[in-house]
Amino acid sequence: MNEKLSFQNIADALARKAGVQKKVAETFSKAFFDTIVEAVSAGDVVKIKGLGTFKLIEVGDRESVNVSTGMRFVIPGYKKLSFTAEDHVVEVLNPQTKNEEEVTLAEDAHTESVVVAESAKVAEPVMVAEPIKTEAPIEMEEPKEEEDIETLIQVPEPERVETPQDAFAGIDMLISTPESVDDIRQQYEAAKAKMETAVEEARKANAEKVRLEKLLERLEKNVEPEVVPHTEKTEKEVSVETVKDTNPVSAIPVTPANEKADPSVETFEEEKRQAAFNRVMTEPSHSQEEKPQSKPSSNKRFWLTVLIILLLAVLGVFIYLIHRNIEAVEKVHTVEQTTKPAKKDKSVQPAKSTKPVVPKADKDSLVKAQKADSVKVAPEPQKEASKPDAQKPEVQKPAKEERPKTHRMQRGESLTRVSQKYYGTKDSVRAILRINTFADPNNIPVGAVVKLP
Amino acid sequence: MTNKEFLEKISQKTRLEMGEAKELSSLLIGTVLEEIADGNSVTIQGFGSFEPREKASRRIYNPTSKAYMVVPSKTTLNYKMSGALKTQLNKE
Repeated sequence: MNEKLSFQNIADALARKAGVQKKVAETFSKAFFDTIVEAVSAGDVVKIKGLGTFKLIEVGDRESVNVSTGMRFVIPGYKKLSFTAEDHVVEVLNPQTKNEEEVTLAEDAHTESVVVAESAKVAEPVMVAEPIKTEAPIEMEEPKEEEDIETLIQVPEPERVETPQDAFAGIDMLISTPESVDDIRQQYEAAKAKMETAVEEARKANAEKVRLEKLLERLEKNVEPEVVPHTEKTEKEVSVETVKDTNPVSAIPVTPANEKADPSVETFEEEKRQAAFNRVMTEPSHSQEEKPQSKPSSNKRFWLTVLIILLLAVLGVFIYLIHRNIEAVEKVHTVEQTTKPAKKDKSVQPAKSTKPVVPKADKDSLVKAQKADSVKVAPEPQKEASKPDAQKPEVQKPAKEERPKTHRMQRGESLTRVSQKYYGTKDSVRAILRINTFADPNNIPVGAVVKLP
Repeated sequence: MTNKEFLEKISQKTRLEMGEAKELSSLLIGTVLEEIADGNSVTIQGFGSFEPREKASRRIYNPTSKAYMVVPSKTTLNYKMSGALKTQLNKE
């Protein structure tokens, strides 16, 4: 134990083991380590089976402090040969804990008692209390989670289903006393088996549910835009007819279960819409555009066409309004632009400037819903022209206010805060310090006036 | 560099056959590991030293299962390169 063996010792031992001459063992061992160094200095990573991996690592420059003088200095970076032992090596070095992961429960209990005996630092009551605490929740948790899963099957949620599984995986590693290990293990196994089946069921149901929801969403989105192009097409009507043929009552419960068939859902959705329309609108039929081919489908076709016409009308009105708005806004802009030169030209060429302004001013007043006298031509452009003039000084004023020359210090205010307030950054503190003289910049009396750069 | 390439290079250097090199290599590693397992440290001049390191047992907390677990103490193999190798690697 704790011997320091040299290269010679190892070479001798190798010679003995392999039954070769000492010289051969020596040259081989030397070549072994030399090859590693060679390959590594060539920038290679050397993986040796049964031992581990050697590779070169660059250690960067770092700063340190000379303890005796307090001076900072830089430790230059260097290359370092790093070695990572294989897992196999760790297993060889730790024969007693080889199969630890398989026997975690018993092993942990065992090692824990060892820890209690060995470690004086860790408080004993904590370690003793540990298994009791953890053991109780195991037995409590299992039924709870099973109940959860049963409810989850009805209303499945993927995240919640998976979490109990993780919790169970962890139980495998839990600390507990050796007596209860077998009991808990059995319970755990049974619960796990139950849970797995439950989880699978839940997953299936959930996947189907999600798919159904997606389908419905897509349908709802599609129905409205699709209606417009279907004026000529008769496909939709046909699909509606098919619904009539198939029993709608049977179609409704079927959809949540097997919603794979797209057309059935589509037609079902159509049906719903049609029914709603029929209930809401009870106007007499005056369909002239399309002649019904069959009696059951005629009603639906009529309502479809009515809906389409309504939609088109609304769309037309909308487009018209938007168009008018845009035009009005554009004209307002042009008014503002034209009024400026108009003011100058007025004295010289009053006829030219006033004429085009008249209608534009009207539009502007319409948009703003102001009561403007359309008859009075001359004052209108003057008002318009004076507006930008009034706005300009307003804009300039706040800019001046933002940078006053001085600042009176208030309680709890620091120069940093002053800088932050007036310049939006803390970096201007130095600029403030440069043009001010303070007895102590870190302790400025309340009410002191600070000059601002 | 894989184990095979490594052994090929050694066999070239020592004029041993691949089979022999392989056998000697595994024996050498076995010898070193045996000594390490016994608690001895192995120093190869011009290369570095291998020595066992005790990793103390520690308590860890598994956030998923909300359980405290004890990771038992174990011994690992630590390598430290020699000063000579350091100067050799940082020559430039």
